[in-house]
Amino acid sequence: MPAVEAAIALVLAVATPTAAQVTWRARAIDEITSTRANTTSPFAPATPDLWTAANDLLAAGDLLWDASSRVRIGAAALLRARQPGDVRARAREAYVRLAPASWIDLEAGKRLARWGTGYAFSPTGLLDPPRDPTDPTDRLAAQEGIVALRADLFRGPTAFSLAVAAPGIDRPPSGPQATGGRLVAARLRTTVAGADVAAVVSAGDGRTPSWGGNVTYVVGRRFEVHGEALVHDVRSPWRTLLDGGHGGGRTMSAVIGGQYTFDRGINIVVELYRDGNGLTTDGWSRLIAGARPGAPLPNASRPTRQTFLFARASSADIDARLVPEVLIIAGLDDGSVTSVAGLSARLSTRLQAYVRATSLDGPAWSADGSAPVAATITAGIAARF
Amino acid sequence: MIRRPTAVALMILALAAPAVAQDDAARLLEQADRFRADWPSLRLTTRIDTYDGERLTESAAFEVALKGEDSLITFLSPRSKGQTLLMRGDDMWLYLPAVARGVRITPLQRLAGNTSNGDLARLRFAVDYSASLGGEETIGDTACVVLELRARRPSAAYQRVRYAVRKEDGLPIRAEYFLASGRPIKTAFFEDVRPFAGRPTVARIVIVDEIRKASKSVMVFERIVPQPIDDRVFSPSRAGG
Repeated sequence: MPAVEAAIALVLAVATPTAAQVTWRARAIDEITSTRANTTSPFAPATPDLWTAANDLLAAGDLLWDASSRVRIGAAALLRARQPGDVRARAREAYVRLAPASWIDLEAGKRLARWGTGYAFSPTGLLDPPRDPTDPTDRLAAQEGIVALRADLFRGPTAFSLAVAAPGIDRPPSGPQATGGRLVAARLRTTVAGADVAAVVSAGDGRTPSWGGNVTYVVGRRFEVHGEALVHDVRSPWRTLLDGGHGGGRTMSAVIGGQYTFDRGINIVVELYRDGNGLTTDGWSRLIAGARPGAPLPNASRPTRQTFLFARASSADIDARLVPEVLIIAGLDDGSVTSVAGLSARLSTRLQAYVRATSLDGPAWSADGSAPVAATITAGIAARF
Repeated sequence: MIRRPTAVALMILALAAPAVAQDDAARLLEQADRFRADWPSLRLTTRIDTYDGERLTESAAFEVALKGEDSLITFLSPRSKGQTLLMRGDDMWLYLPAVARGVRITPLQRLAGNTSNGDLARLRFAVDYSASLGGEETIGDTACVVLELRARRPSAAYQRVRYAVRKEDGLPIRAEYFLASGRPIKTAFFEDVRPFAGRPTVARIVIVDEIRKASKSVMVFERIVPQPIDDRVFSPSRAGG
């Protein structure tokens, strides 16, 4: 029997005709961003405009169809227009999940994974979409899933997940996880004495297996601590290009952090992150020495450094009418500081408006001080249905 | 002069009295819980209307799966559609669809947001609180026993609750919720008892904000269906989607 027919037969076999349920949500976002160029950046165009403006219009929809308690079909699509005539459609998710027995889920398709536990950084998120620490909540909800076959086995608070993924299929290339080839990943997750712990391992084409784990624990009523560590190959092309002897081999990425909620409803998140793929000081010096104004970077993704301190203060009440937010990402290797200040206002049940200001500062040779962008100001309006 | 056997009997009575009172309070709390969807596992849908004065400011809908000490709340209103809140014993996770991951949250964070989220995750007080007798009171025309509830686990939404239940059968009448500081935070009035699956169950709760007096929420249980639910529904690995 051909594979497609076998799959359809399996879906029909586990589906029951009752209790079908459809859940959907949709949103439209229009966002305008003004960008101030860093005219002294070695990576900036030769004659940059000091200020430029861009508009980003998004329409997105998610659909979940629970054909029965045993079959779920999910899809999420995004339509994005960054400038007139440049409209792109993306599938964020498209999958089918079968539950042939009470202890197992089988899933196939493109799916957003949730393996990491860090807030801004998540090295053990082997299948997760890359995180942007300046926008940890993905305000545009534009992140995309990974194409995979996956099995999840459940026993009480313990779950074992096994995924065979193709990170290079239908996903924008960004970050070391998104390289091509096959990727097999497994996770064992459980709760022990209030601690949510997970061990992860992955193996892929042309790479030595990665392994690590993560933990979260809540202390009392207001304090949460979490940590992640992953031993992995160096996957950064920048390291290979600029860090000579450090360009290959093994490294470790790790994050440790916590969040605290005050009585007045303020929530603070702090994380210390070490990026095993980040450039060393020597490598960074070579990058700066070789950069020439007007010369574009040889890779779409900018190189990063190794050690970062992240801090975020916001309202613990994500449903409040006004939610202010302040983010700081300090590069401890070179004195870089990215700061973000934002305010979102709930205009009605369906409408939300927000503004965000981002500033990149630091010594001229640092990652932020040498970035081609000095600051951005963003204003947006979102409608949800 | 009290004779020796009498003195011993009095001592026994004095020692036993608090234990008897404790038993009475626990029994009354169990009786009260029977009016609050006290099935081993169930699914319910509820709507919460929030008022500022007489003006309806928001109407939100939720679907809740409950099993023992575990609960999964799915948010259905447009603004937060797709969010889920999972409680497994004392542990809590919030899943935001846009973030594509679950966030471990603390009990205090659960109280933030819609002020009734914490009340949805656990309907039965006996799971989170130990009870003692706190006197009697007449509310309206109803003779009530007041139970003093103290949180006995960190995940309890409130540190202290004064819970007035009808003397004759334990029907919940009113609950006053307090922060650890002793400050009253809100008062709930249990109304409209209706049969769900053949059992009288509180179907409407009016919650008055004691800090912003003009604000109140009305929680209406629209559907309660006792049914078996797989344990995996409450798995942190699955709850987000």
